[in-house]
Amino acid sequence: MSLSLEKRNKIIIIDRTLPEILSKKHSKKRLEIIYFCWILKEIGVDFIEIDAKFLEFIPKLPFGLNFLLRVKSEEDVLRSIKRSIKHCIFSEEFLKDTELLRQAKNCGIKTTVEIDITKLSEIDKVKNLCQLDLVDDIRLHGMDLIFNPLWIEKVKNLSKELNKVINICPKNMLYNATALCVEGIMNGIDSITVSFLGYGKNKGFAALEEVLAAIKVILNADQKLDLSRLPEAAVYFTSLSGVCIPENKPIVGKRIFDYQAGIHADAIEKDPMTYEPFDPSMVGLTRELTIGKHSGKRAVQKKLKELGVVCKVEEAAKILNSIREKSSQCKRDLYDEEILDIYKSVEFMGLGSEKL
Amino acid sequence: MKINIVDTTLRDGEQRPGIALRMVEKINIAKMLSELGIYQIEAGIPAMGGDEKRYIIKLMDLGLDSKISTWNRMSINDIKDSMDCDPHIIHISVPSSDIQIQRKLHKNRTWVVENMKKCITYAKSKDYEVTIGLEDASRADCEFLTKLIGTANEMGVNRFRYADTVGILYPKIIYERVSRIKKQFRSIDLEIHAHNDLGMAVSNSMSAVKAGALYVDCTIAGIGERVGNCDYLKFITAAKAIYGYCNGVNLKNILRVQKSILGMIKSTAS
Repeated sequence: MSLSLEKRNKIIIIDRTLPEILSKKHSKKRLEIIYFCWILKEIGVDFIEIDAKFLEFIPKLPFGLNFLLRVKSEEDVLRSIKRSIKHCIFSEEFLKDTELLRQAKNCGIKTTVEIDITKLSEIDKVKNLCQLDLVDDIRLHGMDLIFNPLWIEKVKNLSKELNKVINICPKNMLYNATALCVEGIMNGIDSITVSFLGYGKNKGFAALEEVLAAIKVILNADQKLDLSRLPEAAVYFTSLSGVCIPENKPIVGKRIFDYQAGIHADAIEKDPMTYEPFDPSMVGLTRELTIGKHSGKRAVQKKLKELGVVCKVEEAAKILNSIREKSSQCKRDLYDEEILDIYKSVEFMGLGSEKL
Repeated sequence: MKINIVDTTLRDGEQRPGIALRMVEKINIAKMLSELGIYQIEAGIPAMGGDEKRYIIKLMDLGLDSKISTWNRMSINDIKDSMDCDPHIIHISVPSSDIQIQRKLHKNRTWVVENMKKCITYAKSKDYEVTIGLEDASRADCEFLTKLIGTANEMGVNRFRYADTVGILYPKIIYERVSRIKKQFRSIDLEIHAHNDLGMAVSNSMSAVKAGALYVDCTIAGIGERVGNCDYLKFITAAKAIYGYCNGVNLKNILRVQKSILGMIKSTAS
């Protein structure tokens, strides 16, 4: 499922997670890699970037997925021809190797050159590079110090002047990669490169899931985009990379929709929209009320009801202090049994209640 | 340009489910934050009563260099609880979006304005510095925000927190909105309170600063409700590299303090 926005047919999303994983870890989980690729496609990725290591490991590419091969040597172009990979990406130094670029083009391979830029002023200099006419597309990689919104117009002008698609692949050195991709897409950039969880060397890249969720939430666009498979993608990602996803990681953290604080719990009970940016089901998650130091009486009343005990809100209020003390002592939220134990100990001392 | 950091680890940070700090830990964290040179520490919510209130009273006795503020709902009782702690600043959170006003409070905009006025009058009558939090400002009607700011400003409130409560803004829109408010109310100070739901809290805070916000709300390691808040270390790193702000802040010190605090919290935040 590709990403599309109003008036613009398609935004190309390239995911570069797998070369990043395989550069660090020699995974032997072939099947999981293939499943991961399929989920990426279903989430919205158009091209899965791979390299020679990937091809060594999975010599026969699965049918139905689009791959983009990162070329590091002449042999890689031959590998691409052999596996019928129709799109290759070259680093800037390959611009000198006109013969190799011509060979790739003659074999019907679409060519992209990756150019490192750091500052805004470097965007204008790209057009002065020699042999750009030999490549089809350009990827701007890095963009570390770019924060000025002028970059978008500059990239669009460059694209117009060179008559080439410009892909952006911001690095996350200064924690701005997701914002660059989101704002780029919203303002006319047609192609981005990201990775799952933003995974990659030196603080990585823009996070695929953050960019897609932002587009869906902010623009309320592309309702066909199905992000509910993100938790599944997260499981494969962890298995392949060995990276445990923090519970509070945007979009894919397992506990991002847990709620506890009295004021929030009360409001979420009335209407979850009050304190949630989107419905958890959009990203395949669920919300959960937890009880701990910051719980209020209504939250405790609701939790007790879930556990089969009906009590008045005043009665719930009477066990709040014990709940807060226990939570502070244990430095965590309370388990259901602990809440019931506290309730029973107070009930034993004379609080009325009604069992369901 | 001097950026003032308002650290809300001990309020918004601790509200993250799974975190429960003891009094002594909260005091130690406040000391560490003050030693880092944090301008203001949002210490907690006295209306919670019990240990929360006792700890803030103790904190005030320490006479830390950082200003200490308390978070209050728009309620006289909450403010009275805060006054029992005698903080430097009383922060009053004013729900500003119709979603919050109608679906959480079951009230209307007029009620919000009148109630805000009562709360400001009460806190000001006891000579407290008051800051107003425009809760859920990112989903609020701009005209209503203008009304809230204008009304409070006339009553002597000078600093306003623009809260992206559910973390749905992006840098360009934050820049536009903060610039517009600054243009309308040249004398006020703006504080940005960004949540990281879409992974853009640092970028959004940077953008607000560029547009004229002088106060930035952060938490250690970005811990907070749901996904969390603007990560202090990340914000300072970016602000230094991109704009040359916060040059006096030592990143190694922040990292050291972050490790200690996360150790106390035993959090999985990273």
